[in-house]
Amino acid sequence: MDRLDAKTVDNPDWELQPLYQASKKFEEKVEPIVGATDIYNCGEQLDKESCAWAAAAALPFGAGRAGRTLAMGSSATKGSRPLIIGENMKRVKEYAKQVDGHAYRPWKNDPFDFALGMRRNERMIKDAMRSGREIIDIGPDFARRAAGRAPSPFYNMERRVTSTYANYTKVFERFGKLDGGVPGLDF
Amino acid sequence: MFQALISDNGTDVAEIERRAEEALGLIADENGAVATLQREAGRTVVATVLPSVFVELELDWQEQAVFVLVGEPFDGQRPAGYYVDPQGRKARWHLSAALDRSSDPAIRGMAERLREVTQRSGIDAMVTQVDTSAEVIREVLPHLPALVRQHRA
Repeated sequence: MDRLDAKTVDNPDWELQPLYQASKKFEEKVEPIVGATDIYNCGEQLDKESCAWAAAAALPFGAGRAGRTLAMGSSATKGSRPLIIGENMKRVKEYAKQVDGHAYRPWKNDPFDFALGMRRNERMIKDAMRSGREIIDIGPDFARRAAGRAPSPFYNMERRVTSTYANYTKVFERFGKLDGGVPGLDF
Repeated sequence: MFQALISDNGTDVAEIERRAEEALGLIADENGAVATLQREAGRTVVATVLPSVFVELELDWQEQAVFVLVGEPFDGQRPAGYYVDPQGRKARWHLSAALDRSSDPAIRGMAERLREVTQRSGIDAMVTQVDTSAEVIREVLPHLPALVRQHRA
């Protein structure tokens, strides 16, 4: 088990497991609330920025506005780790390790529900965009495509949602339909 | 498209894992090795390490598909990282890409067979992918070390 996996939400010994379980139950109730991902990230990472956005989304107007102000003035647009997007979660995780970025960690979704997984992934990206966070795109998994796979619907969604986002950086190279990738990650 | 990750006949994640572990475990056992199963967020990897090649069945739960990755062991173990190891060396290839290197048309044909089943997604597709991958691995295993070495070079 690697360093990140030692902290995974699937690990019953994880010190934040009770907090995660509570936030998971809460999420089922607040699914429609914009910022639910921040509530989760606040619980998972105790990240000041996410906690502030969570407060903005979940607290009554006055306190929520304070949270929003805190989030806007926090490191959201300055020092927070970039969000990594791309095809194949394992690649995303590996690249995030290399550049100290943030890889989307899906909520436990067992048995896997495609629509729910897609909705959560999309919400995470929209939350990141709202906070001005840098998004780094590592592109398609060309090796999988050469192995017969069509483009991933999850990655298609990520491209669509971020297509006009200003703080977006593309780091992959494309040499053809089935050839390309990120140097140091794919080849 | 996909709904919950369970098929009409009740096959689920645990069943796919068992099937993959059993399929690769049999091949490993025939070669004096063992198969291991490792769960990570969003995927399960069933792997075996032989003296000159390792084989991984990657069960990707988000994409609902199975991939076969191969490479050369490093110090008798599977290298860290993914396609590239932490030292920047290419460490893993998809089995179909390795088979493309063969001069034998029958082996290249197996690469096409793998690609055909890899196109599909879903729990039933994963069952087919596990079974087909195991058949192909068994067939090509004697040739794999040389094909992987060609990629390395």
